[in-house]
This record gives sequence, C-alpha cells and structure tokens, in this order.
Amino acid sequence: MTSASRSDKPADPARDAAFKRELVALIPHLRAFARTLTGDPTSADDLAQDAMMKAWDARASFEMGTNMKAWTFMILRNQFYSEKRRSWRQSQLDQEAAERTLVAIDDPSAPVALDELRMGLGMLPAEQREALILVGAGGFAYEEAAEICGCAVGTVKSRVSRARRALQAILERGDYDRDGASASEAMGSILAHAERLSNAR
Amino acid sequence: MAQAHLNWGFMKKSPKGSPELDEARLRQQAIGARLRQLFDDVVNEPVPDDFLEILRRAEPEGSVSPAAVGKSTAEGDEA
Repeated sequence: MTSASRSDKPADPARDAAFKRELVALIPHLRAFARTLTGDPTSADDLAQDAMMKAWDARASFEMGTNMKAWTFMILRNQFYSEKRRSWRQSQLDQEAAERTLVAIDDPSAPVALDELRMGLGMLPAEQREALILVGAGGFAYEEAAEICGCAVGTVKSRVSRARRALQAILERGDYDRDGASASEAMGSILAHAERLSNAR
Repeated sequence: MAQAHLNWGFMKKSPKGSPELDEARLRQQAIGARLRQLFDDVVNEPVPDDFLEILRRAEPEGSVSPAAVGKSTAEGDEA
C-alpha cells in the first residue's frame, strides 16, 4: 500500500471528512468529464477513479475553501494525458459505429443526435475537445478552464471557438454526404475536413 | 431547405438576414444544448459502488469506524 505517512503527523479527521464529503460530491462531475474526454465508459471510470484517488492522496496540499472542482478536473486532465501517452485513444474511433450514426439533420434547429455528437467530439483534437467540454458543459469560466489546462485564457478561447466550428462542420458533412457517397467515403472526407479545420490557423 | 425560418428575437440578426449565418447559429445552439446534455446525463447517473468502496479502503485507520477496521484486518486476505 502507499499510505506511508500514516503516523508521522496527527491526522486531521475533521478536515479529512470535510474533504471527503466534497470529493464524493464531485464524483459525478469527474465521471462526466472523463466520459466526454475519452468517449469510452469503461476507461472513463478507470480514469475518474484514478483521479479521485490522486486527489485523495494529495488532500493535504489542497487549500480548503478554494475551487475543488477545478482542482480535481486538473488532476483528471493530467492523468488523462499521461495515460494517453501510452496509447489508448487509438481504438476510440469505431468506424462502424460512426457509419451507423451518420444521420441527416435537415432542419438546422433539429436536435443534434447524441451519438453523432459523441462521434464528432471524438474527432476533435484533444485540446479542443477538453476546452469545449470545460467551457461548454462543465460550467467553467474561460479563466478557470485556462488554469485547468495550464494555458493562456486566449488560447482556451480560440480552442473553444475552433472546436465549435469543427464540430459543426463535422455534423454538417454527415448531412451533406449522406446521399451520394458511401458512408465510409463520407467518413473519410469528414475526417479530412476536420483535420483541415483543426490545422487551420 | 430554403424555407423561411424563425427569427429568434434574442439572436442578433445577421447582415442581410443571411440564411447561412442564421442557420449556423441555430446549429451552434443545438450542438451546445446536446453537449450539455451529454455531460449532464453522466452527472445524473448513479455513482458506481466501487468509487466509494475504493475511497473507503484508502482512508487512514484513525478516521475509519472501528467496526470497519476490525472487519478488514480480521479477514486479512491481503498482506
């Protein structure tokens, strides 16, 4: 086990309990961040659990009363990238599932299909995806997202807007290419298009 | 899809009422709403038991109830 420092310092049970209460309340959010980041429920829960435990182990360094949500999200994010480095997201884009979910949206105000959005998110570069999730769904201000991602506020802003544009283009291409090109051809051109967009400036 | 579409009062009308821009805004709104739903759906899921279980096992002994400590040491399944 890793709990080496058990008896060095008198533990502060009250503080630990307060920390734990707050951490437990954040678990659903950590799971949601992990799920939208990885696109895969199983590896997402592994990631969320790892982040939760890292946060628990580092609880002494957390200043109570500050933003624990942002702090734990930062831990999760760092964990995601360190694991991502040893492969993992390669298998993420399940071509078959992608083809199945390429459905038309003829009405611009029609709700976007969740599967389609999930697929689109998975096609974004990771740093755009995380910026969009943090700001667009996680409820973080640009400044907080910048702190979580360890980058400038302006960088977050431009990542979010690029992510929005790319996502929209991806979803629209699913529409345009539906009739005519085969689904896999459509996928190919969507990917190429998304890549062009994300490389653009 | 060149039909007339709703002019949402809260949205800035595009120059010349360009249908493309209006449409883009509608799509962005739809995407934004779906993204939040994707996230919130997970937030609203019940938390799997193993999260709390792992956290419980990690607690320093001092702060765990005596019953729980007694149970885990009595079983002594792992060194």
